[in-house]
Amino acid sequence: MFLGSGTRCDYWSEFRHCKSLKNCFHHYYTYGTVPSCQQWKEDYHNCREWEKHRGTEAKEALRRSEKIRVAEQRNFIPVWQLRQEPPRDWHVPLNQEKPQDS
Amino acid sequence: RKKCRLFTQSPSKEEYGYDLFPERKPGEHKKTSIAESLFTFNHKCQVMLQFAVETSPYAKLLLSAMKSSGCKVFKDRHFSCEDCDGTVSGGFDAASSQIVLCQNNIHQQSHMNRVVTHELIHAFDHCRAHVDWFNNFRHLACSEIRAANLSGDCSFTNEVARFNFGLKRHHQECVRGRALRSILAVRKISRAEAEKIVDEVFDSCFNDHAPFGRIPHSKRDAKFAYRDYMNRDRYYANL
Repeated sequence: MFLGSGTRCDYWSEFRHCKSLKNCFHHYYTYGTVPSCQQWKEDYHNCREWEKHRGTEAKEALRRSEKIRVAEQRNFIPVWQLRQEPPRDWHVPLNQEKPQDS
Repeated sequence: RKKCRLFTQSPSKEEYGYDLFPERKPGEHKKTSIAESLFTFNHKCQVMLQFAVETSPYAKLLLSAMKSSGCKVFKDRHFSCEDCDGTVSGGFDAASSQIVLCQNNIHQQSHMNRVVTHELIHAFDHCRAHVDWFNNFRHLACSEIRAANLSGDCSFTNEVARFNFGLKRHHQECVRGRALRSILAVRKISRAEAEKIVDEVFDSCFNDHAPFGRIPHSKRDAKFAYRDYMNRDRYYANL
């Protein structure tokens, strides 16, 4: 998420947010369980490691973790088909549309 | 308060919820006079809408996402403050690509923020996917599930305010219930049928958090999500 983005290992703020009482409450309210925040902590340490020593191992570990995070967000079968282009009439001015049957 | 009406062009406008929006005559678009604009609910609605799009991290993220998807939102074109029947708060009119805000039923900024977010989620779905609002109940249900899930409609405090006291996994119950009610309000199907449709699409649609990347339970969550969204190009390039 923050590899080379210039925001300097903000995984720690995500970790703290994850472990906060409010977030734990929201997670329980949504999923019935307490969130697991360990991955954010590991990512932070890998990020700091990479910042200091530019090691490829740390970088690869980070990349893997982020890829898993992205995959988790796409872990469902969509109900609809995604568009290749926006709807044609999105910008058509009002009062120029054809009158509808009523 | 009922949240949303998704309506469409139809020979029988009552069938699809248009009767709740009496100012929304197909083919006509009413212009307000200056006098009407300054001293009425309409003016208040416009002011609250402006504040919402400028300050709500939920709305800002959705507006950015829509712009990236080719559906830049212009306030004057894509939003309309109107009087509505009953207690409905707003709706998305796919036929005219407009979000309707019920100026006579929205009186607080926090409510406006939520309605704007909710309807923008429908607009976002319309923009990025081939949603068949007219004929496909699964699509309708899916967008309602997403809107209830991601807009803050089902936050703990909002539910408590409605005297719905629940804790463990209550968010999901709320989302299910609101999606069901929204469908039943605009389409003539039985409750059992509507429940079946919601059940069929629930897992998929509840887990579709686009464009937030997470369920934003608070403004703070939404700000995190907004930051992630704005950094996404560099993020994907780095991956």
